[in-house]
Amino acid sequence: MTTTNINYSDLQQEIRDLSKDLLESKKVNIVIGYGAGPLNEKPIPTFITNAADVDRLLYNEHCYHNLSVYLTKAEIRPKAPWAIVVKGCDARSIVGLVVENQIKREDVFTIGMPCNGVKIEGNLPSKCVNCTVKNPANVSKVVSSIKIDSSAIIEQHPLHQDMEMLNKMSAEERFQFWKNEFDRCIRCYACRQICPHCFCNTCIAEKSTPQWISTTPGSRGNFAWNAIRAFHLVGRCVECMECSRSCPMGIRLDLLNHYLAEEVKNSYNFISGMDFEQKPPLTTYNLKDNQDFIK
Amino acid sequence: MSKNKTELKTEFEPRIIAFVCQWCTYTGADLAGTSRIQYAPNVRIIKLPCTGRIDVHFILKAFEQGADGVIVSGCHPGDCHYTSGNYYARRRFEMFKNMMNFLGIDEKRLQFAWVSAAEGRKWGSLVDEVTNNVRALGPFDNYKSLKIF
Repeated sequence: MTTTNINYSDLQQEIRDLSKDLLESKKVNIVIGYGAGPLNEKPIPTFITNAADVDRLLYNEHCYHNLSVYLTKAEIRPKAPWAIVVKGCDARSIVGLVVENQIKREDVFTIGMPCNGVKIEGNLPSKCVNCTVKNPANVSKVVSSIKIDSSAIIEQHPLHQDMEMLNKMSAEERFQFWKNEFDRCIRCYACRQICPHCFCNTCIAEKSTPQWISTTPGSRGNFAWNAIRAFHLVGRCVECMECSRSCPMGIRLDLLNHYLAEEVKNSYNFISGMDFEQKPPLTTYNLKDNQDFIK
Repeated sequence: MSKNKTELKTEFEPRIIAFVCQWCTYTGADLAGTSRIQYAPNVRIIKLPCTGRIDVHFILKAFEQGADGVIVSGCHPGDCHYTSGNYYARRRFEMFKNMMNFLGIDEKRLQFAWVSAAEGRKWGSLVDEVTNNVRALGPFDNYKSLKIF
């Protein structure tokens, strides 16, 4: 059945039933999903360890969090095997974590949700517009038999206009644009905390001997932090855009991430989180790689 | 006398930091010295084991500490002492260069090169070229304008 309309209460019931089975049969120790939050209709991440509690699980179009970030957290990691509710985009993060040997593939049971786009503050985020994983791939089980029609892909990426604007600028103007963006940074590191791929025990931003990044929220440290954060995600970022959503200062991290993802795609023909067998491009090489820029 | 002093002050001399690998480019720079090849004295050379060891943090740090231009140089493909360090570096630097360009840093301030132990002359002309390019661009006021506080 191909459809674009999703009956969320059906999906929600299927998550509950599946979670109950998994917990009762002891196939998993914990289910990571969405549950009621302090605001109506806006679920928050919820952790279920008891089969009797599965009715706390919710699912609707406001389930925008990428829950895979929790798998590498110290509190959740020892509770493996886990079951986790994922949309197609979140499933890409799980693939990334498996490829980088952060989690074992057999430890994680992914409950894949067909998704026709989430709502953030009532709006469809840019990542959902040209989404190619509305029907999740690389998951343990896809909930329901709904197949979403994903043929309606518009050619132009929603960030295209902003990217064009930046590409037309001179280097000087671009520098000022990014200086203005990064100057707002308060170094709360929300972008890092929410990123499934920022799993280092000690972040480079916290290393003090030597200190690579000034921890003071001034222009200099902000530029270094934002540049290095983005660079550490080259070929790994799955563009779930949780960093730009969580940024309290509204820094356009989405543009930087999207630019780098496009560069990786053009240079190495690689899209992250799509294949369990493919290595991230910066951890491998090809003898024929481009070196036009090298004298 | 005082007039001379002010003239000296106004003349801009670029400060170039070169991160080089110890097997090829550092030896090549040595050769340039022993061969008495004249080249711009603006370069400060930092020797590292391999281009694969050159983290992009080094480059950002160099700019933070007042560099007007940065050279990164190592063994030609196929010549790496550790067989593949420069191949990894090649990918990393391609992405880094593109990202820096996207962030608005002039590409001419960041030059990557392969200089072998036998290429003293190439090293000399590389340093001259980068120094001249950066001199034409002027001091890296953009990055220096990023205040710590």
